[in-house]
Order: sequence, then structure tokens, then C-alpha cells
Amino acid sequence: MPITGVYFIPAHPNASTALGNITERLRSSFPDEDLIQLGRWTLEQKLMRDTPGLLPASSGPNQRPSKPRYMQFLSLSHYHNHGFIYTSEPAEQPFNIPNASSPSPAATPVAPGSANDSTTTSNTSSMLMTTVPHSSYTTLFQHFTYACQPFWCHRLTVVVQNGVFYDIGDFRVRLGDVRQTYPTNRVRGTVVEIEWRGPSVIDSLDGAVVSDVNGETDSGVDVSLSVLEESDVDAEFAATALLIREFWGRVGVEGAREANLVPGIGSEVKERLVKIKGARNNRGGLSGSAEDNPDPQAGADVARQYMEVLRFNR
Amino acid sequence: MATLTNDQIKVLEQSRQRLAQLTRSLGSLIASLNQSDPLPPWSSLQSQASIISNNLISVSEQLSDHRDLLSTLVAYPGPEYPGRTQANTLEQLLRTKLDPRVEDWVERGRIAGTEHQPTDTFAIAPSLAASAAQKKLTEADLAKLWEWAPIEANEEARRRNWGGNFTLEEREAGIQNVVTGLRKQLEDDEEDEDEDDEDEEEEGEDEMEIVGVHRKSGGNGVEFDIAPHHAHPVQPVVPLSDILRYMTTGRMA
Amino acid sequence: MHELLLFASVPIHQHAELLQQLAGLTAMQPRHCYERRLIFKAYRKPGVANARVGASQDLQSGDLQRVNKMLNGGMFYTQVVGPIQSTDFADPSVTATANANPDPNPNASPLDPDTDTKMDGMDSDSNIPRSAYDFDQQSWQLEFRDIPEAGTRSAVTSRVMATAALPRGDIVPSMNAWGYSFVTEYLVEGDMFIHNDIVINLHRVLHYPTIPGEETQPRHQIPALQQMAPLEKSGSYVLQASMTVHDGSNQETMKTASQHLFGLREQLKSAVRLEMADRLSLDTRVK
Repeated sequence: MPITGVYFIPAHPNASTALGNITERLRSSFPDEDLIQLGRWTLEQKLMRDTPGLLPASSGPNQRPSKPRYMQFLSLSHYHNHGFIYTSEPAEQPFNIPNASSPSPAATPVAPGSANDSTTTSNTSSMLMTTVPHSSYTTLFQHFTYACQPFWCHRLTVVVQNGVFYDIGDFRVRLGDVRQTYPTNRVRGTVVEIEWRGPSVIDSLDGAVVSDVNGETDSGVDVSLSVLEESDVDAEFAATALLIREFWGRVGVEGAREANLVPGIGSEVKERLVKIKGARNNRGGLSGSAEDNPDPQAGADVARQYMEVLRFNR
Repeated sequence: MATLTNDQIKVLEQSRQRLAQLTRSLGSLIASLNQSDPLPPWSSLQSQASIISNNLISVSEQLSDHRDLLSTLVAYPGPEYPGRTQANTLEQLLRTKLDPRVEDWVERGRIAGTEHQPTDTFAIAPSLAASAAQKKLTEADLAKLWEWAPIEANEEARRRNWGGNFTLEEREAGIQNVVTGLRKQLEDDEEDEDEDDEDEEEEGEDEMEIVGVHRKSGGNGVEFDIAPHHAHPVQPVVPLSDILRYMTTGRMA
Repeated sequence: MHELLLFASVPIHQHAELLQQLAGLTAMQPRHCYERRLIFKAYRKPGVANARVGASQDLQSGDLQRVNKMLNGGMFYTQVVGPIQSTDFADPSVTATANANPDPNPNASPLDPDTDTKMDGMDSDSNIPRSAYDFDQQSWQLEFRDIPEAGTRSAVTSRVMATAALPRGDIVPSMNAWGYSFVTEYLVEGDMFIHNDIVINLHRVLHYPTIPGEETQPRHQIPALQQMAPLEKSGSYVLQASMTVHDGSNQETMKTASQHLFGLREQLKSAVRLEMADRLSLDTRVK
């Protein structure tokens, strides 16, 4: 899972976006690189908000005990196998507490706090990432609009329709204009995703898990990984974030919203670490059932970042 | 909704008349059995029975000749209908299903019709009639049946010109209606298949389904007639609706 | 999508024969299936009252009405269904010792603080029957079914449905965040047939060996099949014939679909009596 950073430069409705400017700055900031468009990409985000939170009564100063809750549906063409659903944690737990006795650190949906190590818990975000097969993405969205009206309300849809991407040094840069398509058509701004494609410890972790999923034995796991700790993962993310920030600094476009080390980032990576270590310590190992989707969680981190910057209030 | 043509009204009137005749002759038989003491002579009973039988045949012919019309007719009360005073009749007219009692009769008749031995009587509850019939076969009856069946089957077989996938009746009714239960598409006039009997039955059912209203009156379907075979029936305790409710919500009530 | 259904109750003594009849009718061998079914229930944050009209100028009154209407919209039970294999059940020979254990629910075992918890409790409590079942790899799908449509003239149950694949493993945190809380779970055991465009299920509900409603989350282990008890004590089965119609608004397709179901009903008439279900028994609304 690559490490990324996402920047969003808002634009006024009906005004031109910063896209041209950013492209120009990329060209001038990295004169040694050929800025060749490698392909296109698209994005769609549907934002839902908790219905009760829309009531004026709950926005009064004295009756606002809870923050608004969101459910964001994100689909990225560079992770076309699955969609991402990013949901605010329930404000209060239902009668049963889902995480309290969960013995499973390896739950497929990212459950911050369900991982057993305290460092993860301290990192707990208030949003929960679930990746679902792409076929379910639309069905689930329709389900929530149809059957969950008392608590979920579709607020808006934004899309990037004609995104482009370039490779610049060790980075891949994805650019695109964000346009709102629901409830009204309007320009929102420009989004930039910067992906670090240089060497990373995390990559070796990816390889380990993929080989395991394919049904191979533990021999596919690099022994060195067993000495990798979650703190190392955190450090790796922090270091790469600095590289990405430095890169963005060189581009030098002002007024951007940054999503880099967002809450919950790296959760999947840490889960894998736990899984791999577990597989090594247990005789059984992971059940390597053949998946249609070799990596059903790929891209969860960049999805988090997109959803952080695209969570518009109105 | 289209109004009835004169011809159609005539058909209805004819049906009414024949049913009235049947009712009258049934009534007179009942009356003579009830009232005459001693019982009327057998020759009189015999002649009354044959009258009833003739009446039945003519009703049956009438109903089947005009099945298309009768099965599509829908009764509804006109504004001039005296609904206040004739509510009972109205209710009867507006029934879409048979009276449960009548359904039982129909069921009994249907089972009687599919039995090999038409002399069997069904004196007990109709739902048990089939099983009663099963139990009534004594050793001697069974032996008689076995004696009779091979010859009868052989004769039936001789009447047919064997060969091909479909019977003449099936082909006349259109082979696309035949339910073979086979995945493979059968071609007409190909190799021999010993499914003919089954196919006929299923075809008959298909036909009834289209008619809908008539499906109770002449159905067969002996191939799945299995309920009677069980010596130790165990009826479910929990009603279906409660099971479904539990499956839906995790609660029984 | 729409689903059209007919149901019948099948006494246990008829089960074996009906299986054979269905095999004959459909020209296929029965496909034996086990399904975990988790019931979830939509919950709303407590203390949410109707908006006071005119309380604020932030929302247009039209918007307010719309939000109010949404707040009073239906809330539903929904199911999360996961297939399991016969090999996922615990080994009955191990189970024999486990019977001495009053609480076979592995979820109740204390949380192992070690990170190595995938096989949590494996060594600490050998009385608990274990199988190769791996909860983290359990696949799930969300199955939403609306309450059957009311007042339909045809004698068939018809309802709106949606099915969506979910991630593997522990689905409860996601369901909680989405607004659903876990109610209970049961197992469905039975056989499946395909007859043209009709799916025929002959199945029944099995309880886990704990008092239903006692669990607070889906179990991570499957007990031995022998420990499971049928909901319907006599062991009877439910025959369900169902058909999926992609476009429920198309009257013509709906009609054709019901006619196919009626055709099956006629073919099975002398064996079982397929009927539409009592609408309220399939009521998925949360009240």
C-alpha cells in the first residue's frame, strides 16, 4: 500500500480552478522532469450526513451534544476492484459494544480500537473505513438512501471526471478538477494526490501478504518483517509524509487543504503486520482462500485522505 | 368491461336450466328416499339414477363446451340489484373461490376419479380419503389389481403407434407445452422415450393453470400424491408464519 | 430489485420424499447448504425528537418538511448472511468433552491481551470445540428485504430486495457505524434447487446451543452440528420458492414471474401446498 498525501485547492463557484496553475507550477518546479501524462483517472464521492443533525433544533447552542456524523462513499479508478465507505463511529454504542470483547485483530473492515495494541487505540479516529466489492458499492448506497432515511441523508455527490497523472521523480501525481453533481452542478476546486513510489518498508509487507493470500506457505514472508514493529510503521508514514510535504512545498501553491497523516492512516498496514506475525506464531497460518480481489483493502489510506478533504459541509 | 352478447346470455341461461334440472332430479330422488315407506322399488331408483346421470352429463358437456366463456366471466352487482334483501345470494355470486365444502367435494371427486377402482367409496373425511383408499386394498384386491393391470397396460400400449418423443395428443396440443423435465431439448420424432404418460399429466396441469378458475375441477397430478404413505406423520408444532417471523426479526412474536 | 415468493411448511416425515421429488422435477441433485444468518436492527440515536417547525431560519420550510419526513421514514431489520461448509462445524468427538462446559460460547472467553489473538483461547481452554473455521475469512453479504407489498391481487408474496457483498470477517463495527445493531443469529440448514428461473430452498432454522438472544455479537466459532437444535422442534422444513425480478415496476415481467411460480405450485400441488406468506410474518420494519 503506497504512502500518499492529498491536497485540495477550493475554487469559487463558476470561477476557474487552480488546475492550470498547478500544472504550470509542476512544470516549472521540476524542470528536469518530462511532464508526460501517463493516463487518466476518475473519482466519485457521495456524502451522506446523519438526518437528525440536519434539524435546526439540533443546531441550537444548548442542544448540540453530538457532532454531525457522516458516511462517505468513495470510488477511485485506480482501485477499481472495490469501493470505500468511511463512516463516523456511532456517537453512542448500541446496546452491545462491538469492540469490547472482539478477539479478532484482523477484522477485514478497519476497526480502530479493535486492534489489540494500545498504540493503535491511541490513534483511533472517529471514522471507520470499510472496503466493499465494487458491485456492492452502489447497492449499499441505494440501501442507505432507501431503508435508512431516519438516520442517513444524501447531501452531495462530487466527481473528478477527467483526472490526469504524471510521474515526477519518485512521486506519482494525480490531478483533477472536483465538480459537484448533486444536488446542484458546481465547481468545487482541484484535488492533487501525491504518491510516494520510492522504496518503502511497507511495500515488502504488501508482498508478504499477497503471497500468503495466494496460498503459499509462510516461506513467502521475509524474516525481517517479524522484527518490524508498529512504531516502525508509524515512523515510516511520518518520514514519507515529510517527503510529500516537501514535494508540495516545491510546487508552491497556496491555500490548499492537506490530508496527510489523517487519523487512522496505516491501520490496514498495521493489521497486516499483526496478521503476518500471527501467521508465523500460529501453526495454522492464514487461510489462503482464493480471492477475486487479491487485496480488498488496497487504497484505504488514500481513500481516507480524499474523504478528509472532500467532506464539505454544504 | 364489455357487456354480454345475446349468445353468451343464452349460454348462461342454458347452463342455468341444466343445473336446475339436475337439482330437481336430485331433489326428487332425495324426496322419494326420505318419504316413501317402504323404499321405492329398485327399478324406480334405477331410472331416477339414470336421469341424474344424464343430467350430470349434460351439465358437464355444457360447462366444458363453454369453458372459455364461463372461466372468464366476472360477476358484479349492477345498481338495480337488491343488495339489501338478497345479500346472501350476492355473496354467493361474488365468490371467487369455491365454498370450502364444495372444495372438499371436488377434491373427493378428483381422488375418486384417479382411483383404479371406481367402486371404492369414500365415507370419511375427504382429506383422508386417499389414505383410506390405500388401506382398503386387501390382499385379494391387490391380487385382482395385478391380474387386471398387465393386460390393461398391454392393451393400452397396443393402441399406440410407438416411436418418437411425443404422443399424438401432445403434438396436437403443441409440443412446446410439454414439460419433459429434461434439460436437453427433445426433437419431435426422434428416439423413443418412456415418459409419455408423465408428460401427458404435466401437460394437463399446464393447461389448467391457464384456465385458473377451473383448476380444482378436473386436475390430476398423481405423480406427487405422496402424503398418504406415511405411517407416522409428524405435524409441525410451530406455524409457518411464526418461523418466517423468527427468520425475519429473530423473534417469534 | 423485487423478489416473488411462495412458501410451504413441510413436515419432517415428508422431507426425504420431497427432496427426491424436487430432484426429479428440477433434474438436479440437491445442493446442501449451511448459512449463518445474523439479524441486525436499525437503531436511531435516542433523544431525537421531531423538529420544532419555525425553530430556525437555516432550513427552508420545504427542507424542514423533507427532513421531518425522512426522520419518520421506515427503519428496518436487515440480515447479514454468510455461507459455511460442513467442515466448519466443530468435530463432534471433541464436542463430547465440551458438553461438560456449561458455556460453549467462545466469545465469552477473556480477551487475550497478546497481539497473537487470532486463535484466541486456543490453549487456555481446550474444552471448547474447535474447527478449522476461520471467522476472519468468513464472507458475508447484506440481505435487505422490505415488508411484502400490501394489497397485491396476485396470490404471491412480493417484496423489494437488495443484496450486497460485504467484507470478510467481523462485520459488526461497520454495521454499528452504519446504524445497525446486532440482534441475534441463527443457522439455516437445507437444500437448494434451481428450476428454470425459480430458486427452491427446502430449509430450516437451527439454533446454536445457547439461549437465543443471549449472544451480544456473532460467534467466532461454530459448534458441532449435532449440538444445533431445530427451531421447530418436530424438525419440519420450510419450502421456499423464490424468483428475482430486476425491474419490479415492469408489470409484464412481474406477471410472468408469478405465473412461473404458479406453474411450480401446480406441479407440486399434490405434494405440498405452496402459498403466499402472511404479510406481517415477513414484516422487516422496526417498530
